[in-house]
Amino acid sequence: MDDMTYRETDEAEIDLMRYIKALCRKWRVILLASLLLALVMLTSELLFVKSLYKTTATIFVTVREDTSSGYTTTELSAANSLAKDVLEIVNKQSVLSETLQVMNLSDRISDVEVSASIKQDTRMIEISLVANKKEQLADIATTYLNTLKTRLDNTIKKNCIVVVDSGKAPSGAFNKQYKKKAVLGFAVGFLLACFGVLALEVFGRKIQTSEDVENFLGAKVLCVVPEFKDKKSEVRKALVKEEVRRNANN
Amino acid sequence: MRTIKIAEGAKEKKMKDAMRVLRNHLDLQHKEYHTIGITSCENGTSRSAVAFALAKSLAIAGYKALYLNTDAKAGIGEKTSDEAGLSSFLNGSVTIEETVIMTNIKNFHMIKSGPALPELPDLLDGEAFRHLMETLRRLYDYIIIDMAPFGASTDAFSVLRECDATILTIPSGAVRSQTAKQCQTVLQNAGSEYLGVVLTDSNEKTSLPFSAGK
Repeated sequence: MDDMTYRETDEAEIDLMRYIKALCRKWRVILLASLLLALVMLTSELLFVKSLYKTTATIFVTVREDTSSGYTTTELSAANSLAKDVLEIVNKQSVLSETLQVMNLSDRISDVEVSASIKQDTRMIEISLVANKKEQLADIATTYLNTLKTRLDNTIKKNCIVVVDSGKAPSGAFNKQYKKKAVLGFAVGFLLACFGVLALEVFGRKIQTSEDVENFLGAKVLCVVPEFKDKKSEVRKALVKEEVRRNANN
Repeated sequence: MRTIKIAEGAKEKKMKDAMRVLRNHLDLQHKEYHTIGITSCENGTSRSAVAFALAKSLAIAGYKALYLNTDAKAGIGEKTSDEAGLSSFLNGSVTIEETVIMTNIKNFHMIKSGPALPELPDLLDGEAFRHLMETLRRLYDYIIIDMAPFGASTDAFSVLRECDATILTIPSGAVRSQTAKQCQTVLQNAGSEYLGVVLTDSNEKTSLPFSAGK
């Protein structure tokens, strides 16, 4: 029984070595496939993914203007409810439309999107403005906050929000992740190439050497018959030899 | 009995060392094999050349050896399909004496496959073939059977029953490991002793089944 277990383990080790050897033998193919897929991912990211720019502004919702003393529980509860109301107004498209109208950019209404969320356990609201052009995005955010403030002053409560961050001009497209995509492409290419090499090793590998016979078939190689080259070339070689010999004799 | 002269070509000369190694393998086996079947997975594997060279090598070593070709589609010296051979004997058109060909090499005889008859698989399954093999076993120390490849016809299966041992020839770089494994499994389950593989058309520098320094 022990002998059997030993033999089985031994066999598994040999197989694993065979696969590792196959991967090492085909390292160029694997590297090429990895680089190729990384390049494909980069190209597709560059050509087919539309650039989007984003700026994020942060506002703080408060129930009273004087923030020198701490909030009471009632005030906190009221502020939480107020934050939810503010969020509803932010998510309304009308504030954005008004902002763009003020800036004479009504034609860009379909290019700009707004979304907002309350930071967990706070009364901070993060407002994200996404557009396919980065020009004026910071100005749009500033104007948006002003428009929102006016809207809230008129509808809910005066001075109920404090602008914490008015949003910076984006430096680049936020959805273009070249490095990430290249790494992902490389990794996928690597895995696919390894899988291909291993599949070829298991299903399509041809027997080349006596070592292959032993590894793949587990059979004894009785003898190796050398490759026989073309008869014509052999004859030609023999004739050349004969000619050389004759010349030497003369 | 007809007699033919066997000329030694460049290929046969190259095979000499390999056949010596193979013959030593047979000598080292502590069992007596009278009939050794040599087969392959596909056509064009130098199978016939190996079978022929082995039979010749055994004859040169002093054994009475016969090369028996059972593959009507290939084999050594099978240029004229209407020449009397195994198939002619099995369908009763010639006697055994007319089938066996003597050669210029002492103790080395051969039987060609004969005309490619459509009923050859049935003939190989029949009593006549069994009787022929019994007779040949009494006359020769070694009968090297050149069998049809497994992938090409079912003839090899009929011949397998008559073999004491089998050898699989695999040409280097031409047979997929899966295919070779399937052929080997057939040979291992055939009831005769499966001796191993002869690797042909190899660019390995030695005829020995291992590399120097290993």
